[in-house]
Parts: sequence; C-alpha cells; structure tokens
Amino acid sequence: VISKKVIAEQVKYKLAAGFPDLGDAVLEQDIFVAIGQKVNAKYKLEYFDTTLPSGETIPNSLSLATYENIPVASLSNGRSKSLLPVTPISLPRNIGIFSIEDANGEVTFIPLLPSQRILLKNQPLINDILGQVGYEVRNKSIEYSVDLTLWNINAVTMRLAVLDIDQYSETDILPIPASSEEDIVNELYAQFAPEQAKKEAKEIKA
Amino acid sequence: MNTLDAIAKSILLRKRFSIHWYLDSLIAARDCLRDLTLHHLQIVNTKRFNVDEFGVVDFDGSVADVVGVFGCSGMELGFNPGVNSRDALDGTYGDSSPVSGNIFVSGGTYEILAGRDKLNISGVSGAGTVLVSYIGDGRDADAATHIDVYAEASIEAYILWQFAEMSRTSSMGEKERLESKYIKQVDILRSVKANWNIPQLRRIVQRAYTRRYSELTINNM
Repeated sequence: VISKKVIAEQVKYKLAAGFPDLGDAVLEQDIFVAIGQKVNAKYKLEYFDTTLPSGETIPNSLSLATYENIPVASLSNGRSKSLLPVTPISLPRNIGIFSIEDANGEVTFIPLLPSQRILLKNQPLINDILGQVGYEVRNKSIEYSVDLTLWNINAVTMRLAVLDIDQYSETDILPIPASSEEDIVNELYAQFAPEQAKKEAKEIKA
Repeated sequence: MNTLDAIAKSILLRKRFSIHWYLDSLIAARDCLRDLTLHHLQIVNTKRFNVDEFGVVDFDGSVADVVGVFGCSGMELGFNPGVNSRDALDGTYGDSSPVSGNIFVSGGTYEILAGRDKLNISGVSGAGTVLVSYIGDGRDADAATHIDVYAEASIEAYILWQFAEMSRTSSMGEKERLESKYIKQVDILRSVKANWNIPQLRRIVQRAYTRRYSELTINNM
C-alpha cells in the first residue's frame, strides 16, 4: 500500500542521496504527474464504461487497470485461487473485478455470486457452466471452480476497476500491487536523475 | 446453428452487458430451450434402455413421449394401448396416435404405463435392452446441443424479457412488450415447424366454417 506522497518522498530521498533539499531540481508536483503517467502506462488504464441491466450507470471517472501474471495456487479441494493484486472499486455484482482471463487472453472465467455455486450444483445442463471455469470472490482472493494448474494455467490476467489516476489525492492508496512499488520508485528515480545531475553540475560550475 | 453458450453471450454483447450477467442469461436460455423442446421443437432422440426381469423399462424421467420402441434386432415392437396406458385411459388412442397401424407388427409389444415414466415390454424373450425413440423433456440438451436456427430468436426474446422482469427499473409496459415479443417469436417458430400443407390448411378453414354454421343452426333453433 503506497500513496503518491510516499512515492515522491522516496524518489526525492534517492535523488538527493539523503534528506532532500528545498532547492532540489525536482519538485514533488513533477513526480506526482510522472506517477500518473507511469501507472497509466504500466497498468494500461482505460476508460471504464458498462451498462447494467437495471439501467443503473457506473460512476464516471473510473478506469480499468490490467494486472498481468497474477499467480494461481492449487487448493486441496480440487480448486485453485489467486490473490487480488489491489482492492478494486466496490460495485454491484463485483463488476469491480471486470474480467479474469488466462495469460493468453483466450479463456475468460465466469463470475459467480457467493451462493450461486451451491445453487448450481443440482441444476441439469448448467451445473458445470457448460464446461467453463467459474470463480467466486472471497475477501481479497479469487477462488476458481477447478484447479487451473492442472490445465497448465499458472498465472492469470485481471482487469480491475480503479479510479482514474488523477482522482487519487496525494495521500490516497494507489492501485499498485505491493510487488511493483519498488519498480515504480526506481523507474521514477531513473527518469529524474538526469535533471538532478544537471542541477548539481551547474552548482559545481558556479 | 448456435449453442446455448453462444446465444447467452450474444445477448450480453448486443445489450452491452458485462460477463457478470452471463449466468442469468444462460439460466433463462436453458429454461426457454427446455420449454421449446418439450412443446414446440419436439426433437426425437433415440437411446438404449435396460429391460428388467419383469419386462419393465424404467425411464430416467427425461422421456416426455415415446415415438417408437425397437428390439435388439432393430425390429419395431408394436404398441399395445393396454389397460394402464394413458392413451387407453383418456381415450385418445386412435387416428391421432403416432404409432397407429403398428400394433403387433413384430410379435413383441410395448405398453406405456400411466404416468409415462415406464414401459412394459411383452412378447420378447431375453431382451436385455431396447432402443427407444422418444421426445425428451428438454433436460437432455447439453453444451454441445445445437439450437435450431428458428428457435434462436425465441430464446433471445425470452432472455430479454427475463432481464426486464428482473430489473427494478423496467416499466410494466416494457415487460409486457417484451413478453408479447417472445410469444410472437414462438408463434413464428410453431408456424415454421408445423409443416402444414394446402389440404391441411383447407381442412382447418372448412372445420372453422362448419363450426360457425352449426352455431348458427343451433341459434336459429
């Protein structure tokens, strides 16, 4: 869990090689803008627009973020599970978890509401969802109806509804998986390091 | 021809609904297919059933109507209306029976027991199994079942109607419009599947005319 403010501070610490100075070449506001650009590019954020059968509309300013290579782990009950990389926006019917696919994007898994799997058991024809794989959301994890690892599916791609990156304030938790936080800090450091170096070179000349 | 899965997904695509409504769409499609199969499509299936030591064939509940029964050699068994048969009980056995004229053709006979969930085979010795042609109740459709092209429109109309029924924001007028659209599609399906010819249509008109004439006659009396 990380916010724009924390990322900006970490980048500034690295640029200054210690406690940042007020006169540094890179300002926090510059880093905030760059964070937005990085997250948009890394998670392929796109405008989220869908229609509900009830006629309700999804709030504006939502985006879909794509998270690739989410690991799948076997469970002892013949099923498997994955952890949600971030907490998506809570929407009716778990639309916040917009889609879960295999890594190649060829198989889309079918969302089931918490009680539906039990109700489906004795329904002829559709009890195995016509041979497709269903999933249920359990807190921060996704439980699949079959063991995907037996099908050689060891990682999945998730598309989750998050806020448009500009909507996150400096202290809001960003939709970035914990495993990627360090990468983003390092990438931003690499992006701004030349600016800091130029300023330091100017100061030495002066 | 399409599958149930393809029909359920095509509705989601057309209405721009997400995959989260797939199961609702699929359940509605399944219900509609079952109804159409039982009442309108009447697809004839053929399946081998075991005959027990008393000559009784126990269906698994998926047989709605028996069309024909065949012995091991492939020879058709004759239909015996019997005292327990529903045909015999309700007096409908006659020209309208699909098996009239086949009585006792091969020596062996079968009797449909009341309730139509069992067959009683007689006159065939040592028959371990029989081949039964039947009209299913629609539950034997599966993921690979191809839907009749004329039934697709009916199933799609039914799904849309069910979505409106489940919606809190659909008006009564909208629900009724979609229901009548479904009924219209089923009428089209029935007319396509009816396979009527000119003499049959002429007979329908004649019978209607006769009824009007007799009503007039009764009124005048």
